[in-house]
Amino acid sequence: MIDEFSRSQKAPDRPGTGVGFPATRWSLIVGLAEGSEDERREAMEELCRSYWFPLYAFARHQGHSRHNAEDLTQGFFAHLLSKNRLSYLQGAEGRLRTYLLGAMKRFITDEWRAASAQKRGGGRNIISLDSCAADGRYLEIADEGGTPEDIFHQQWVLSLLTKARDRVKQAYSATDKARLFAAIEPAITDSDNIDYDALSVSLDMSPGAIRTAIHRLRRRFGDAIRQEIAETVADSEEAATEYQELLAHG
Amino acid sequence: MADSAGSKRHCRTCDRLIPSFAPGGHCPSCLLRGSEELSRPAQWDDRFTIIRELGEGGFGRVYLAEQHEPVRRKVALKIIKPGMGTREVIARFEVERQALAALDHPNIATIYDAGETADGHPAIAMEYVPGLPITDFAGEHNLGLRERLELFVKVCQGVHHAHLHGIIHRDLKPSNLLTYSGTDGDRLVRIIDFGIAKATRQGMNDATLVTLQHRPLGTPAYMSPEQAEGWRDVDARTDVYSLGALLYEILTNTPPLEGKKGSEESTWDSLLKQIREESPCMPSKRLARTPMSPDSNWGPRELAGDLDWIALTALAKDRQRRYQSVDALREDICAYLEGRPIVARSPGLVYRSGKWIGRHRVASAAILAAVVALLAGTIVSAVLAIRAERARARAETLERNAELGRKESQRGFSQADYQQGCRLLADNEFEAGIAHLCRALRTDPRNSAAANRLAATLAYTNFLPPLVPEALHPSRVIDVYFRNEAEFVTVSEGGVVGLWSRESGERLGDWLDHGGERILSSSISTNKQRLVTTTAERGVRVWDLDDRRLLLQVTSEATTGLPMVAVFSGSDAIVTGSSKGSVCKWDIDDRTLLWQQNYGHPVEWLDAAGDQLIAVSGASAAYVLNSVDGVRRSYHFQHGREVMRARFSPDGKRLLTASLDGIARVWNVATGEPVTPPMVHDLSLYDATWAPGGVRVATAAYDATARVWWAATGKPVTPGLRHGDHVYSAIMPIGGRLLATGGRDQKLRLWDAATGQLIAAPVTHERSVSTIDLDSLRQQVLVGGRHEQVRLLDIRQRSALPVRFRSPGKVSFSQIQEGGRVMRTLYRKDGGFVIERRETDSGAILGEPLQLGAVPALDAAKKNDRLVVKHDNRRVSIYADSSGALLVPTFSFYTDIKHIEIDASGRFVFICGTAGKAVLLTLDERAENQYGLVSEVLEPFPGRPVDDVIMLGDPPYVAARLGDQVRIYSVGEKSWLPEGIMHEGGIGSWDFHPGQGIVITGGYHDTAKIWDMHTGMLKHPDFAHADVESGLAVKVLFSPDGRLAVTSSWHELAARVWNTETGILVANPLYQNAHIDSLAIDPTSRYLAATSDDRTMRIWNIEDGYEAIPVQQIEAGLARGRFLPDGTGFLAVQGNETLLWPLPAFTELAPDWVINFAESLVGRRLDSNGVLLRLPDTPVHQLRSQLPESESWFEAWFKWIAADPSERAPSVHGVSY
Repeated sequence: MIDEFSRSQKAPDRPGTGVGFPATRWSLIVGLAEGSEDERREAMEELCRSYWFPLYAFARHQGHSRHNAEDLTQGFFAHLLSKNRLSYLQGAEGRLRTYLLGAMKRFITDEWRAASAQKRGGGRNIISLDSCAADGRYLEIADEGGTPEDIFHQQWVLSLLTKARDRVKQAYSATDKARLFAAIEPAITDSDNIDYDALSVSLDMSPGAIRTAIHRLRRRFGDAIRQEIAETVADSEEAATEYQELLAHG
Repeated sequence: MADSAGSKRHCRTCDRLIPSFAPGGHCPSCLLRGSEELSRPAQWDDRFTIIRELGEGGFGRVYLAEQHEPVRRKVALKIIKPGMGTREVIARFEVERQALAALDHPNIATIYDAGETADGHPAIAMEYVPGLPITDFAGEHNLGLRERLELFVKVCQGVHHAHLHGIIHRDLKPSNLLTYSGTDGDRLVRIIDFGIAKATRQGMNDATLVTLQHRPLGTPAYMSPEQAEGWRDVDARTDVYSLGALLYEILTNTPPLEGKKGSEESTWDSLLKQIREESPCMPSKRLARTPMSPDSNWGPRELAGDLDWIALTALAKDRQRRYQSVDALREDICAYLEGRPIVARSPGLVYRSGKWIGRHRVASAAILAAVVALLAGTIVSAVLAIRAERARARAETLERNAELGRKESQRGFSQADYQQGCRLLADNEFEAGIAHLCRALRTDPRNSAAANRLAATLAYTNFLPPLVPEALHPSRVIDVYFRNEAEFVTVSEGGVVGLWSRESGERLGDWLDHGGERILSSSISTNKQRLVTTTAERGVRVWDLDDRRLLLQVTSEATTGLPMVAVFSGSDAIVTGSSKGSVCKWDIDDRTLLWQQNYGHPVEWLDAAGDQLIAVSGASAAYVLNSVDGVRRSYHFQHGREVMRARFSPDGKRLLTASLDGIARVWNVATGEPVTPPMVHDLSLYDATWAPGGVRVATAAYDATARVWWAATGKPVTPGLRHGDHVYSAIMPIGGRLLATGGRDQKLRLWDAATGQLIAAPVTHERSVSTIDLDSLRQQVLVGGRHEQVRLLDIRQRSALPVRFRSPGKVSFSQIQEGGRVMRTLYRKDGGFVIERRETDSGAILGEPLQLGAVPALDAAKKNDRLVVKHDNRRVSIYADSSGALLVPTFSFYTDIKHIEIDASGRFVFICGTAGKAVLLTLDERAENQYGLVSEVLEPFPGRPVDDVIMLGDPPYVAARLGDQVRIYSVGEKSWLPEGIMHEGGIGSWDFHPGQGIVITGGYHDTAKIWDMHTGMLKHPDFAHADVESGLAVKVLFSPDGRLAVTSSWHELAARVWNTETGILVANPLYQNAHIDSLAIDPTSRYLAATSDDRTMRIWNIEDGYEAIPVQQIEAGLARGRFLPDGTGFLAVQGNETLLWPLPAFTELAPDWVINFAESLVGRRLDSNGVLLRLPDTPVHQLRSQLPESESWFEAWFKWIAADPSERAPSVHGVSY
């Protein structure tokens, strides 16, 4: 189910944009990195696919029905990806998360009517959105309380981590280490309850080697999370701020 | 797709709800947080590449990393956890950095660098040591005892090296002691993490404790009690404790404190309690219980003795009782390894147990068990004998070297005894301490340290001398009573009751004989004329003590069961209680049974309130009966276990119960309702008694404490008053605040019942103290117990008090002049000042006090009899204060005056104005007492007034300080010495010694510096108090001869004494219990006096670090303490008073009679075999009459000690001045 929402992708191989911070989707979108119109659109689509659920949950938590919320999300993306909108984003710095939330709020209140009229006519579904499954997810978290904004941020963290995990899992599978990954993955967050001896038997590795493997996995996970954060911000300073904010919402 | 919202669960770490669709089932929050430390270290400063993780600790993670620059090497990289405050950690680490950099020792891993990772975590790079924790290494290589101890010695050497640099480790544990085999196959050990615990404040503050409360703590087994409790003044002795724990584990493979492993209950609190209170059993015992692997080469037998004592000494809960340095611990291990003879046992103990066993060869197992328990209880003091006995052992070796070594060995013997005596005295082992000092003097009468300590201790201690010889009995004594002014009564288990003269100690008439029957209990009537006893065979007897005749005998048949107890109900009737629960009342004169009731349980205790009420106890409840008809009150006083005591309050309206359930309680007799909540002890109670006023009660318990409580509220009045073992008896006499307690530790202790302070040296008995009576009017105490002797002791206040000289106004300073004959005091009065001179012996004022008129302020020099007085801030008069004559006409200074200083010769006066103008005046003698003034401009800091000035030397040097600089002018050479003395950060305190040509400055960063005044250069490296970071100034002081310098930093609660020539420490730091307020060194440089925040004054013998007199309680505000020029006293002022503590300053041979007198006074003698003999009690007046009649210093001093407290001066004062 998870894979359906966040298709993993290879990290884009882009030229650097400046000192120390690699070009990312968001820096591309806001024009900090060089790229064509199409590349920018593609980058935005990619991000939208990854982070649509937080927006959907936000709309749902505002009280919109399942179908309405679905419409709003699709409509928002259509609006966002329209040609003039995207060029409007040129020079908008900041971070994807805060930008999307602000834009979604404005969209819902001000622009929905007009945009929906246009979209419903001949618009296309930008992203494949399994609203049935999505709503199941929403209902699971709905009773946890919090404002629609809270829900949005929390789900953002979850989406980001999902992407990061997929990135790591993919890398392990690519090197035929899917079994190792499955066995030691729980150790990432729950290192206190690892039975090294049992693992040692099942993986045919020494406990020391397992420790090292877990350590490597942890580091890769951390790196993956940072990479995912980097994709949604324009520079390293923003990345640090974003990280702190995500921690607050996590 | 179906909804999958199903299996919701909570995160194990943070307890948050984890959504079912969380990636990999991870808690998102933890995953995100974790990522912080998961990925970053590789980025740190780009100087390191992480190779792999080495481990994880309470502070964070350790990685093996490769450092690229400045040099390529493998390092251990410690990344401190988030949440510990990066900046603070790094800042704290920076403070220690310099000191850490100075650590250069083969057993200490080098710290290379500290910094901050790119994402802001503090990180420390240190030498990578590819080793195993020392205990693992020892196990894996199956090291034998010797090899293990050799490794341990290496650890000690490393730790000691760090201590010498002022660095305390604070977290010594096996995993910080990495051990490996070197290339030559030798075993190497490196201590890691020096400075880290301090920088991360592990276990240091409340915040840490709070977080620890919810987590199992990594290594409580190695943490000293003071550190666990979060004391701020943790010092090097915390490492001694940790090393003790390590030694214990090396020896036994188990840590000293066995936690309740796996228990959910092991909260921080319970751990703390364990660390604080639980004493580890001896290593040999532990090993006997949990043996090592079969191939180990040692067992309990090898540990028993030396190693047991060494480990337990290092593990003493009270750091005063530990080895005072790691080096001392190492010394003992080395001595053991080298097979040097160690007699690691207190002679006293060996003697005592030996004697017991000798006397009680058929003693029951129970008695032997008690002996063992007692020994265990006194281990701590016993082990303190180690060093002294070793010194003695060394002396023994020396002795073999015939004549040459003869004197040397005598001195060695003597010194060892002196040191052990000092330690015993510090442990309140008064008798044994005195006996050791006496043996020191007998061996070497020239040992003046021992002579002075002996004289000072006897003068400044409240000891309880015997008034009469012991009252001897055929068997042990169960009860003692004061009967009247002339007599006391004793009841001995073997079937006799004795009446004795309080005057002579002789028995009056024959025993009141019970025909050999065993007496179970006794009770005396309120008017003290009648005594009732119960025996196992023939029941109850009532005696008339005036006529010594039997008034009534009731057989056990008549009381239905064995009569256990009996008590008077009024003076004409008794009530008895039996083993079968019957309670009977008998008329004594009519010999008739008045009534009989059945209580239903064996009666353990009876108490009567006049002739109206009877309290009965024995089972888990107490009852009250009407004494007239025996009818029981409808309610009872319930406890959880047997009620041992139920006592009526003096007014009979309340009942105090004490039970084996550990609770005492006060009840309302009329209603049966409790008055107080339970008053709780940790273990069962033996006794509880009322203070005669009924306001307070005292309890005595198995938990080795007695305590005083408020009878109305049940709130404690005092803390737990500690004995070494079960407390059997507690008693408070009429009037006054006294509490006497006695117990299984053989001690009688007297306390201030209001504050819980011990008010006299404890008295040691042959065996347990179980019965006490106090006569507060005549200030005497009767003590008996599980032995055959009863002692009558004088409890009057005996200790010398400082002599107080009262002046009519607030005293500015006092000094002793003219060889001690005259004391000169300057005090304020009516806005002016007065100088008075007194005879020190009598306190009589000499001549007319010199009135200095209405003087608004005054800066006076105190070194001679000249007095410089400042009027109206500007005019100056110079007097000869013995005559009051004005030496030069009063003159005016240019500006307002800030400082005036006069030199010792009285010829030179330095005056500095508030605007910076300064002059040196020379008094030119023109005719007798007529002087002219020569003035010379002398401006150390032109245009700026100095902060302070010291003028010393002949001709003098003027040393002036402004801020962080000191400048010195030579009056003789009329020139300034080179500049250069500048202590960055400011000078908080400084001193100057022209004779040695040195200046000492105490800075604000816990360093003191010594400067060569002639060059302005630093003479020695900084004297560091590196283990503090207070930002408060270090106090500094030179000894009068300039050979010693004392430094004291606010945080360390210690004074350090340095040799100014070599720049090294002269002795171990001298520890106080609180911050040191003031310091003084005596003219002979032997003694250091310090007053501190906790209102104590201590005077130390600098050379050996022992206190020269018992700790003195002082009042707050004691100021300007100084020794008298001849060392015979210490003088300080406080309010309107001048206080003088006389000090013995014997230099002559100690005569034999001094030794005999002291030994008789405490009833102990240490013979040449180390056996502590018990001497018969000699009444103190008899000892007094035996003192010689000459007029020497010794006689005068000891006569005062022996004198009747009511007939002598309040202090030893007057004997020499």
